[in-house]
Amino acid sequence: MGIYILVFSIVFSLLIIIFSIKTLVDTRNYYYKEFLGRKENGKN
Amino acid sequence: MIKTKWFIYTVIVGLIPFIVRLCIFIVSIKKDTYLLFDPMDFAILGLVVNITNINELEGRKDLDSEWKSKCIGISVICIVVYAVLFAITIIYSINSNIFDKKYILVSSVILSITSVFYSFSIFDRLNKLKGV
Repeated sequence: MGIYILVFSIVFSLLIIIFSIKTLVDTRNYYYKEFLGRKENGKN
Repeated sequence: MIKTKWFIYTVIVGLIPFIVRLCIFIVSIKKDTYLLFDPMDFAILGLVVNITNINELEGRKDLDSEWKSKCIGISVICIVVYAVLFAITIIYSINSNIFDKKYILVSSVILSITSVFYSFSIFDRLNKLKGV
């Protein structure tokens, strides 16, 4: 029984980690785009 | 600033049961690591972190609604998983023959670390958006 809980938690954790990494990458891209936009407008 | 507050108010507060256990472990004469780690402590950390995610995201109007809904949905699913894990640990404390503590402990540690990372990614975005 315990092994099923462990397998479930590993698979579930992997899914959440993938979503978290995607969120972090999207945030970095968005922030970088905003930074470049401000730089072009001379508001750096 | 948001991330610092998140770390202090959420992660440290969520880790209070483990910190208390660690203090007791340090001052105890017989150092038994079996008593240091308990699945319930990590389940509490996961619950605290995910409830904070929902609380923080719910009031925000300036976020992408699709992303916000996904995050809240994942947090709700996580809360359900932690509630099940919490129930398992309570059942284990009544009857230790049903489950193997080792597997439950490892599962709860993996899930809680994942939840802290997930929460970090959410608060990182909130922090960055406030900084822009």
